[in-house]
Amino acid sequence: MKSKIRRSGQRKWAVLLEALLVAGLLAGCGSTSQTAGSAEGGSAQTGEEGLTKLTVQSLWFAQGQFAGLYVAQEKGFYEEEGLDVEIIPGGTDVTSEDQVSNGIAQIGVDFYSSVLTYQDGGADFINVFQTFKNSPQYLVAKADSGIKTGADLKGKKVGSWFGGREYEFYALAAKYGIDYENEIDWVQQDYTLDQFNNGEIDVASAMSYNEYLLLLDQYKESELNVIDMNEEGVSMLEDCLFVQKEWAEENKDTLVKFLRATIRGWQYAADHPDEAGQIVYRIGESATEEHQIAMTRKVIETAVIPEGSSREQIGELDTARIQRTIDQGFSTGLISKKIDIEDSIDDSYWKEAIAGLK
Amino acid sequence: MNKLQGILPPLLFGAVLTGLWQLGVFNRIFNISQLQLPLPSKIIGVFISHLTAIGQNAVTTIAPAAVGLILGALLGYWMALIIAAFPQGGYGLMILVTIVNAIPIIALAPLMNRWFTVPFITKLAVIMVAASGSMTVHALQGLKNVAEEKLDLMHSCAAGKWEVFLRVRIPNSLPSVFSGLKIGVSAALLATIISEFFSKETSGIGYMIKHSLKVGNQRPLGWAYILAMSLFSVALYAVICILERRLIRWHASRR
Repeated sequence: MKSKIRRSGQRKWAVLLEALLVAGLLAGCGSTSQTAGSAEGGSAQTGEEGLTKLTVQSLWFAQGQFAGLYVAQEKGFYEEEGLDVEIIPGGTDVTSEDQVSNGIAQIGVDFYSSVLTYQDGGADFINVFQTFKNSPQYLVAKADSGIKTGADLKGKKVGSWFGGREYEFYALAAKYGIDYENEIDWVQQDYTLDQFNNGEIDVASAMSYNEYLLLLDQYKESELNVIDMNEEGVSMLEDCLFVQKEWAEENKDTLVKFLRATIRGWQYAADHPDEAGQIVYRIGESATEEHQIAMTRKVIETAVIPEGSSREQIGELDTARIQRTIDQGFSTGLISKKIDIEDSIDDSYWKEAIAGLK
Repeated sequence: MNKLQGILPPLLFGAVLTGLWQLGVFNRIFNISQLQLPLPSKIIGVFISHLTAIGQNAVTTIAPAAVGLILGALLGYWMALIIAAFPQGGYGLMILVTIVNAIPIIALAPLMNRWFTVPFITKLAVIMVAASGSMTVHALQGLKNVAEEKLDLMHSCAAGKWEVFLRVRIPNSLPSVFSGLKIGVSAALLATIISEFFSKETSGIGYMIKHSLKVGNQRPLGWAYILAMSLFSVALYAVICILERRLIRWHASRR
C-alpha cells in the first residue's frame, strides 16, 4: 500500500514535470516566432533590390472585387513605390483580422462592419482606406413572389451568409417594425444560388457585383426584384483596408506609398476594366473571364467610384457614412458600444497618399 | 481512496492548464490576443449569461445526435450480425462498411444537405453513417471471438447455429457493443457539428460556433458553445459508461 502511494506520488510529479517541459518548449517556439513576426511585421523589412516587403490579407479569392490591388501589383505600381507586395487570397474560414493580428499580413481587407466588431472586442485596428463607398449587398426575390421591399420579408424564408453579414438585414426588418428574430425564417445560404433557384428560399443574399450578375445569366432583369440596402437607407460600409494602429504609426511612409499605389491601381482598373478583369481572372481563375470583367466594372461603377464621386475620392473615409455604419451597428447589436470615430478610422494616411498623386 | 488517486493527476493537470490559461500564459506564448483566445473567466461568464440560448440550441443539436447514435448503432450491429452469420457473403459487406466508414464526414455533410430537405433528417443520415462503422467493427469482434470451450459445450448439447448465436455469440458481443458506442459518441457529435456547419438551419451548437467565431466581438460566445459541446460529449459518454456497468455486471472485463 505504502509503495503504491509513493508510486502515484512520483507519477504526479512526472505529470507536473511534463507540463513544465511542454510549456517551456512552447515558450521557446513562441519567442522565436515572435521575433520572426516582429521582423516581418514591425519595422518594414527590405528584401532584394531594396524593396520593402508587404503582405495583404484579402477577404476572398482573387476576383474583380479586389481589382485595384491586383492591378497595382501586376502593373508594377507597388514596385514603383519601392514595395514588394504579396496578396494572400481569403476563403470561407480565413479572417483577415486574425491574419493581421498574428503578423502574417500587415494590411487586411474586410468589411468595415466586421472590423468594427474587432474594435468593439478591444483590437487596435484602424480603418485607413474605405474602398467601397456603400453596401453592394442586395436581397433578391423572384418578381412573381411579390416581395418588393423590406416590409414584405415578414414570414418569408430569407437566406444570408451570416457571420456578421446579416446585420443590414436586421436593420432593414427593424425599419419596418418586423421582429427579425421571430418573424423571419432565416436560412443559411451556401455559396451557390441553388437554394434560390429551386425555391428553398424566397429571398437570397446577392452581391450586386457577383451573385446578382450570375443571376442575370439565368433570369431577365424584369423577373427579379431587388431590395437595395442603400435605397432602403440601412447600408453599412463594406470593403476597407485596415491595419494595426501601432504598425501604421511606425511605418507611415510605407503605408502611404501602399495606399497611393492602390489608388492608382483602382484608377487604372476604372480606365481599363477589361484588362483589369483579365488580370484577376488570370490570378484567381474564378468563374469566367467575362464574369470577372463584368464584376470589375460593376464594383467600380457602384461601390468604388459611384455616381457623384470622383477618381480623387477613391478610398476616402467619409465621416458621415462611417458614423452611420457605427450607429447602425450599435442599434442592431452588432457592436456593444458606439465606438468613437476617432478610434475607428484614421484618414491622415489616405490624405497624404492622394496629395502625392496630384 | 484508490479512485481518488486515479482522478487526481488528470484533475490537477486540468487545473494547472486552466490556471495558466486564465493568467494569459497561452496568449503570451502563442502571441495571440484575448480576442483570439478569450480567458476562461470570460468564457464561463458568457456561458452563464447565455444559458437559455445555449439550452435551446443544444436541443437542436443533441436530439438528432442521440437519435442518430442509437439508430446508427442498431444499423451497425445489424450489419455485424449479418456478417457473422454469413461469413462468405459477409466479407463483401465488411468491405462495404469499411469503405463507407472511410468517407470523410466533411465531404458527406454538404452532399446530404442536397439530398434531404429537413435538417433533422440530414443530420440523422450523416450521424448514422458516422456511428455505424465503429459499431460493426466492434460488435463483429464480440460475435466472432468466442471462447472455444463455450462452443464445445454448445456442440455437446447438440445446439444449432442459431441457438449458439442467441445464447453465446450475442451475449459475448455486449461488452464490445459498449466499446462501439463509446467511440460512436464522439463520432456522432463530431458528425452533428460538421453537418450543422453546412446546414440551412440557423440554430444548433455547430451553427453557433461557426457563426460566433466569425464575428470579432462574439468569439467568447463561440467558445461558450465549444464548452457546452464538450460538456454534452462528456455527459453522453458518462451515460453509456453507467449503462455499461448496469447491464453487463457479469462480464469478467468489468473493472
